[in-house]
Amino acid sequence: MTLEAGIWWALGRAVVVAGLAALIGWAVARLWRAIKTTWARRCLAVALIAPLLTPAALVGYAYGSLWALAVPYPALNEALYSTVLLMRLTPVAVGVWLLAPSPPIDPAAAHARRLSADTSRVRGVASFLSFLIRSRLRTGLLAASAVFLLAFSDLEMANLFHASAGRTTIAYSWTIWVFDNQVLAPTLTHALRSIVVPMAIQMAVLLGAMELLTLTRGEWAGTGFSLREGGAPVAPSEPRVEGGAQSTPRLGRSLALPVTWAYVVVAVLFTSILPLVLVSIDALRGVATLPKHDWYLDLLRNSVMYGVLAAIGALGLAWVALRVRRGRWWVVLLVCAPGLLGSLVLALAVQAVIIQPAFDAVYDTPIGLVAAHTLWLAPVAVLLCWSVRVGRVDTSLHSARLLRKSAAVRPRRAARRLAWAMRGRPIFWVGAVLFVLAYFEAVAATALYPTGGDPMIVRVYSFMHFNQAFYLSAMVVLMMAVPVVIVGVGAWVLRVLWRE
Amino acid sequence: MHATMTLFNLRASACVCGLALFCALLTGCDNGGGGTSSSGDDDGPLVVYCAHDAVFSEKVLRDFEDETGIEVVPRFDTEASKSLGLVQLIMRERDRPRCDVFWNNEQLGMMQLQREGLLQPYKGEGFARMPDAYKDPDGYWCGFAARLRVWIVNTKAADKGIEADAAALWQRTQAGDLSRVAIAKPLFGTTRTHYTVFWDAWGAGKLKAWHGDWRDRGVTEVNGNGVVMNLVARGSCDYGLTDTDDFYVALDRKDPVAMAPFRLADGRVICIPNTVGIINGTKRLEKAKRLVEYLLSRKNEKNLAWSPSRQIPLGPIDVKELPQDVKDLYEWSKNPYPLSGLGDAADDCLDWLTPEYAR
Repeated sequence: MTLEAGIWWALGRAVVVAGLAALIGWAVARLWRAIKTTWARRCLAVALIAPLLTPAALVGYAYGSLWALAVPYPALNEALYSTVLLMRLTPVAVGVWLLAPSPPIDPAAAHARRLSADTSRVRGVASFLSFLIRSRLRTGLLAASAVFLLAFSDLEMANLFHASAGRTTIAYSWTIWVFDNQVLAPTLTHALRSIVVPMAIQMAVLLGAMELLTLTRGEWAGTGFSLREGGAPVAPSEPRVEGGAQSTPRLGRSLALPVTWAYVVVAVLFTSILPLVLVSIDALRGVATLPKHDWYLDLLRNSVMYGVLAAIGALGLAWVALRVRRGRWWVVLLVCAPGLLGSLVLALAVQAVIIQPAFDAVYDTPIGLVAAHTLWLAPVAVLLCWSVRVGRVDTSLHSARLLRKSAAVRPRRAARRLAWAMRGRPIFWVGAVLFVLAYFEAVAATALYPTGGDPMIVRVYSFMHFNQAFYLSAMVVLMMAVPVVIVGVGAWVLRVLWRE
Repeated sequence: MHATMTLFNLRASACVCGLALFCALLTGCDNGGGGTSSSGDDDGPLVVYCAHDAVFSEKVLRDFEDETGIEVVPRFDTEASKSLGLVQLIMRERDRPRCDVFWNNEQLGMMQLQREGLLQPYKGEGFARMPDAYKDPDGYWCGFAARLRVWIVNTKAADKGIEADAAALWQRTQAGDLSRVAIAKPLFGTTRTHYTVFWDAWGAGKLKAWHGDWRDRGVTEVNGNGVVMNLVARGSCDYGLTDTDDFYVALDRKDPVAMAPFRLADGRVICIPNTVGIINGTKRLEKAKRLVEYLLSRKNEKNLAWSPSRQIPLGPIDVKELPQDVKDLYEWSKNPYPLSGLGDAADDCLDWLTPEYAR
């Protein structure tokens, strides 16, 4: 199979997945805005974020038997892979629909344009298209671009689903070609040279998305932040009052609401809950074997440390990116671009750099892996750091901070609680998400982990090629449980410390 | 307010920096060098690159640690790029070697490292006990504990007339649809050795024609021998080519599988040993020699024979001490195709395969 074929397969798949994800993301975003109760929003938030945080390796592992049955049917296998990819990445599109800058032309103006537009002439069509990309279609294109970049650069899932039936390849991608080639190539630079075309495609999509963003004039939808022309987001002095056509969709009268709910439930079942249940059943029988393999504790420790360091690094990068002054949006692009190229390209690039004699002190240390994970997480960190400012009111936060200086104990405690709720808790949860993503990342980890510092995911991912085994399932469940416990305990400790 | 914010940011930054430093200290790896011991060795742990499955080899290395007190830091290869990934890594690190001992799960990669001048000769007691067919005469590397290439057959396919009979299975592949026959991509691991044997035994022309014919008739190619085993065990394919250790994973799982050794036309089998070699320029030579001796020892070969991977001992051993499965393999392995002279064939074959799969 050629590199060109891999690019075409990945391109076609990514375009379809991105298009569908943008459409479904739009529906789910409408559902989000339509929901008024807190518990329902929390349920939806968990259902949306779970597929993203569930490691791809777990999904591939859990469905290994199903995949084995589908191998003789290439179309079915490709559909299975694309469906899993779509369900895992749709939450990204939802995030973009909810958080991206609102279009320069509001829905009312767009509706008026539709009523009056004359598309019978070429000039009319051009005008209509120009109008469209300044209306809600622009947000859709942004959502599709984000999903495209992730789908196009996927390796973990592709590697688990990939096979060839004679001359017909299944779940083929340029990333598989690059992976094989970097093993066979005499030097890393030789392997890197071959990815110029995929990188060019990714950069074109990335730059296109950034160009769309610069069309922004309005308020950052849902974030409560406005964006100065070509500049950084600026917090409003008052909370944003939601209103208008977008925030009050009349979904109750149609089937859209239940259908969208049904999709979300099916997606979280298929990509998170069912894989976890399947593996857990096996794990119960494998738990007894775990004490014989006590080395996994070292691997877990390594994974946790890499995850924590990468999360801190990515938070720092996002902090820098979001502090850019007016007219320096390119800093955001600079921070986000490496991560949007995918973990494989990023890992190979980092590897090619640190193997140079000048980086002898860095080579075969955790620095390479942590640096790659930090850059890979940066776009997510930037997006989340923007989003956690929802509802933040500077005056309230400032008042709370003034209260902390109070001589009386009760107001001081109350102020600490307020500060935790408004500032500490959101930042902690952003850090937690970043930590979990880094903890479960397998591609860069495989390429860059230092000798003697294997992360758990690398060992587990390698074992997964043997398909299900009881002890392996137990290791997978343990690997899944560790970040849950760490984040849970961390949240509790920080909450107590912050309050006291 | 600005002062408060600045103070807050300073505190936050200090916390973050402190946490980062703490984590960096905790994450420090164990592969650094140390002082020098009385034997002249670096005091640091012995770095072992290991292409044999971690699930089997980890225990051997830990036992060695317990027995000798020498700390071992292993680096394992992934299933997908088995063995070749570590060979390439050693080649890329030629100017600043990190690895002290390379435990490969096949022979061709070791021969390549020898040609590149990256191995250091060592002939000890373990070397002496191994047959000439499985070691380099100058002591650059030595084989031990082998596997066989085998046909794995789903026993439920018996109603289609498919039985675990090597000659009959080969005959079946001569014509018709092969979509229910599985094989791993021949770029890596033991399937590469299998192709190299064909290259040597048949000649390039016949191998290329055979390979093209198999692909034209829809053979299922996957990412490793473990996946081949899985496809056959789950019934997605009726039979395939894999290694004995992968077959036993399925058998131990009580999957409906049987096997037969793959035989060339003259009846010879493809017996692929593990190999071990010391990396040129190691600073822990004495420790490296002790590990080599340990791996080549009768005790280790016997342990590997009793392990779930059922490795075949190559050195002299009392057959009665072996499990029944390995006794059968031991008998079959007595007529192997010689791999020691296949260095050029391996290079030529890989040169042909690389553009086939990674153009």
